[in-house]
Amino acid sequence: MAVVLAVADVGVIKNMNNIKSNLSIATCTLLGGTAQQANAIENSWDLDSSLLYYSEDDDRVSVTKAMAFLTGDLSSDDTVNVNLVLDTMSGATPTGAVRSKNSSVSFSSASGAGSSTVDGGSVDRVNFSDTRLGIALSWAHSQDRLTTLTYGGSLSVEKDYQSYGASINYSLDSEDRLTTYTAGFAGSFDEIYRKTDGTPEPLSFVDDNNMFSNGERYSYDFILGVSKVLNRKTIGQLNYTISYSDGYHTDPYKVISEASLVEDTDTGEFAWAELNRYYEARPDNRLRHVIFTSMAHQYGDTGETVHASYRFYTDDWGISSNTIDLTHRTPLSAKSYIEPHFRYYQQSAADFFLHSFVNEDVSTPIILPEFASSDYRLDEGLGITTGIEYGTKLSGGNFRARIEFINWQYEEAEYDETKALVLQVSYQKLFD
Amino acid sequence: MNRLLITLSISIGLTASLSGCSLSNAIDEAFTMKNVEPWQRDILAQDDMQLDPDPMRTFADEHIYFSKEASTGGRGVGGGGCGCN
Repeated sequence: MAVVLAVADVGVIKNMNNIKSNLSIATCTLLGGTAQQANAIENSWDLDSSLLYYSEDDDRVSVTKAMAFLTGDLSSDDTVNVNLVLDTMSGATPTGAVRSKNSSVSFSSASGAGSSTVDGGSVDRVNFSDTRLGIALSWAHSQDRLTTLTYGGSLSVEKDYQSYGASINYSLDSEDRLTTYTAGFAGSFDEIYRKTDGTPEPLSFVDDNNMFSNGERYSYDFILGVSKVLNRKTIGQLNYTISYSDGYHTDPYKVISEASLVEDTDTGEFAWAELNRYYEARPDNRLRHVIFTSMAHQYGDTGETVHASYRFYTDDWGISSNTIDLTHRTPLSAKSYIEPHFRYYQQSAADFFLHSFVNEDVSTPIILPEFASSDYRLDEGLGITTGIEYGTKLSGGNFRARIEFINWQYEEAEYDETKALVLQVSYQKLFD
Repeated sequence: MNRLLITLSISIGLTASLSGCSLSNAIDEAFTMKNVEPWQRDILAQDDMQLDPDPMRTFADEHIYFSKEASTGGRGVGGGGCGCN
């Protein structure tokens, strides 16, 4: 009887595939299993593939991202994931320099577009192009009915950046399988350098071109989490993450200007005049804390689903942030849905963020601080994302398409606004 | 900043109108603790009721925001970094 009730609740049975699917879910439900286990019974392997296009206005950054995620069961106790990502990036990115009309400084562009010398114009942004290949593997092994260990490894390679990572995650279900406790540890090693090799001497004159060896950074992340079924239609999650990284944190392409405000004799308006340009300098370690909570809730006769999450972040660079993310999925039919998305993000500035080294008395040398960056991403800012996704089941798979608009605004940065468009189409192929 | 506030208002209004139910009722229903027997987990087993229903979309979003914002993380650990512009 319980099987019949469970199947009836799942949805309308239209064909034999649905019967198979629903019986799988019902069987797994009786055994106290999860959705992933139910899907595993029906589809032992699936391949999710996606193409994403990201474009910023004003001819800034453009990225095409191709992704393929393969998931499959090697046995009843072992599941593997293979994730491949290929990013193709190009466009222009702010250097951190002021938009000056009197600059005469050489500057090498980001991510390997070569060196450009600017004479009498602005080099507040430079062109770049790069390709990134990312590979991540994971293997989840069920130790017994309630515990699972997941081992992971990752590799990311660009022209001027390499990252290697490893992780281990442990999860423990309660006897009633309504609560899951997780603990995880990850370590990574990153090598950072300019395409021409080396990293610039922090806070040295850009024109001097003083180069050090490649930068290296070690990062360690530890997470504790709990997820709990609150009722038949709600599940929640709470995570705490602490991260520590040690080594090179500076962006080898970013600079900061020494500048003064001067009045244009023709228009009467004030504009920045750049006097000198320095490479930026950031601290060589960073301690971060993150509290993340999320929930999924279904309501209504048609099965509308809300996902909500909140994240609080703080670190010892003086940055704290609040992030709220909401999606609302409305079924259009038994096979398709529409899902609006809204995200709110607010951050404070890093302690060492500066628009520039302001020098109103050009005859007096400035006293440089220990750390300084004018990277707009370290400024106080606000980001709003709005988007919508459409999804539908096709024969043997699931199709999704979404469009999103992102608007970031910053308080003091030279480039105080970034607008971006995101388009993504995905297809998940299920193999019986 | 005004444009941001307008965008924010439109987004909240769009989300609220599409939800089609009062927020307080939804919150009450969502946070009421009730035991769930094994044979009552059909809804929880649906794909869209997973805490991360679309890991590929989440992965892509986290990469975008990691590249443009000063804070990151929270959902899990592991994965590679990048020198994003």
